[in-house]
Amino acid sequence: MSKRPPLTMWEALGTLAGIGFTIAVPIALLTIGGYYLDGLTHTKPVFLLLGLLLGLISGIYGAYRLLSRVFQS
Amino acid sequence: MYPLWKLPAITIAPDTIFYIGPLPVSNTLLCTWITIVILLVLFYLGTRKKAMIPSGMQNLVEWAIESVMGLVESVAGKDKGKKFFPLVATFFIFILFANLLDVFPGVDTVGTISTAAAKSNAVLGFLLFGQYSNNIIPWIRPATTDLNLTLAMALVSVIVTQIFGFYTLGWKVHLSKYFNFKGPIDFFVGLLELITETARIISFSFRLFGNIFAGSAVLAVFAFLLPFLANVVFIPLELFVAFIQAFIFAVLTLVFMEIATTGHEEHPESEQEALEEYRQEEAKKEEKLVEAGSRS
Repeated sequence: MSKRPPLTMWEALGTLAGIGFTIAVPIALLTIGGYYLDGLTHTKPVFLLLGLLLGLISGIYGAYRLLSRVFQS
Repeated sequence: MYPLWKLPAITIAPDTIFYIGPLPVSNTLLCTWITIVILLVLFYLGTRKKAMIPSGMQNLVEWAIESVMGLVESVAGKDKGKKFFPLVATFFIFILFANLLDVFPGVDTVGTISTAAAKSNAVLGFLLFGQYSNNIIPWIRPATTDLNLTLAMALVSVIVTQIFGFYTLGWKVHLSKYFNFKGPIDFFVGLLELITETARIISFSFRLFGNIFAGSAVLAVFAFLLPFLANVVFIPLELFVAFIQAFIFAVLTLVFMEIATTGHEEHPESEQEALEEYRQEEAKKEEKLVEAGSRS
């Protein structure tokens, strides 16, 4: 395993600037997916809420994975 | 009575401006080709005569490449950095130049008008007044305002990241990140990984597309709303956005590649140790350099 160098200012800048979409996209995707699934199965709002919940968790998890290097430094 | 001019119509889909055989060439595709030609010429001029002490264009190209190389190595280390560098640098330089074309005069504002009445006369958009002035089909539109291009680049970024993951960790370890049946929590984390990985295609493509499309729309609209004055503010802003978006795309690709080629078993403690070790090595290297410098 190659040694991991310390975090630089540029890497932190790029990571932090791109974090918004990393959180927003899973939330939007899964919520919209849940909405359409509800329309197909007539179970409104079960899949919508499930999608929203899973989207929120995924968004936060994605952001955490991305920021773990920043946190460590 | 006709208005002096109307604001340009903002369309998300690029317009086809001509055909090469059966292939429709859109204004964004034309801009992609222009970007490629500019880069080819720039790098040809920069590498034509390689002098030991670089000057002029060679100096600029070397500085740019060394800066990106330094960034890649600072994120991924020397070994992996060499593998990641070609893709990351290509993304950065290509997106930067494609975005920068946004601020050139005539981009998004010079073209023909689409109405049947005006089709017989070729019209320059910036000279257009009256009721047809919002029907411009621009000849050149920034390449990254086409979702097809940004989606294609996002797909390349995500797929290559996966290939590096398989190549570095082996297919068993890499697949276990997504399909982990050791326990319910591991399984759920694997599911989250899978979701975030898929969502990344969308987030990569929409981030770049959204920012540059919005910027080009602002420039085009304000060229009509408040000519000459407003763009004094917006053009520097767009230059900044062009750089930042290219940078974000490249750095995120790089960081995700680094994450994908790092196994699960790496703990923060060992990372801290590695960090310390790395710092010590760097300090030793610097000392050696200083010594060498003082001797000479």
